Amino acid sequence: MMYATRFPVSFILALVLSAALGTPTARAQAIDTAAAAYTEGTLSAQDSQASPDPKEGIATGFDSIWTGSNIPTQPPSGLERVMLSDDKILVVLGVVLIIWFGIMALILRNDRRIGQLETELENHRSDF
Amino acid sequence: MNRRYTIIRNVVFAWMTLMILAAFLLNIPRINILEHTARNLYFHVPMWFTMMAAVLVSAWHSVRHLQTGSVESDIRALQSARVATLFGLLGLATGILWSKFTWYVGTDVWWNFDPRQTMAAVQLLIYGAYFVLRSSFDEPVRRGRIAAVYNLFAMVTVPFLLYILPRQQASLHPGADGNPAFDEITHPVMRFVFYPAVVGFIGLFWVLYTQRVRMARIQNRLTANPEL
Repeated sequence: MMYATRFPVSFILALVLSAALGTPTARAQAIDTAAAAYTEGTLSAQDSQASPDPKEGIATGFDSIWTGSNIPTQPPSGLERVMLSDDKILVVLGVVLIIWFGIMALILRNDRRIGQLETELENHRSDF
Repeated sequence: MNRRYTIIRNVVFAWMTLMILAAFLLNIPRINILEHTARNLYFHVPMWFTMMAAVLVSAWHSVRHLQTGSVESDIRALQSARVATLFGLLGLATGILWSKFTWYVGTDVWWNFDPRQTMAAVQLLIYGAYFVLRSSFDEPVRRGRIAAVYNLFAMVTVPFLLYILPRQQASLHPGADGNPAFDEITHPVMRFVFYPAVVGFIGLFWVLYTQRVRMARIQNRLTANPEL
């Protein structure tokens, strides 16, 4: 029972946190930033000017709405410098680790429940 | 039953190992902004496919429970919804990480209310309410029936929240606003890994779900309460 009620609490927490971290205005800015980085052809661009034809490039099918204005990109911060290195392979590592941690969490919970069931079984034994 | 479970479990483990090897070792074209993170297609997207499959399994057993009233189908509906929520949470978390270093690079943004992301979070809240609803009943027959009805409602919202609504709005996700979801620029090698990854993760769901169903059955025999 306790297990069931913990789910939504963590959700609401996550939503509140995410609302604090990002706002719709920031969203427009992020899209513009992505557009700027895209049209530059480089991600660490210091100054950015949108190229006249932003439809060029192999990823065009996916990013047609990135054709916004040009907002200067910040130079990569500490975490970004790590994650963007080696063609961003560390992001894939992070994603795989998140999935692994999630599965581990489930296994740990199962373990705890199995422990409780074992105790329960012992109690039943002592009834007889 | 046990023999079949063991065989499928072993196949799933071997399959997932091969899939992860292929996901990292096969060469894929580098696209601007995406770079190697295109490989997340093999991990982030199957999370949602698996959640969808799990939700279908859950709804199916809820229908069975309404038809027969059996404890077994109530157990299966609940445990399938639990594992579905796990995969949904993982899909959300992996998506947040992926977007931070592609769409939102150079900003402080982690979450931006991209329509599909927001709808997925709403979807998970709807399933969160399912577990709260269950925990508010002490009487198993009523709990099973009302939870099954709510679960069917929750399942019906899934296609609207994850497919129909996000596709009608501008979004950075593929599949939005006339943007095809699986473009012709997706490299054949990526399809070759992506589809087995979907199958593998659904198999993994089946293993985890079966384990929890077995635990809930034991719990029900010991305490006459299947709630796990």
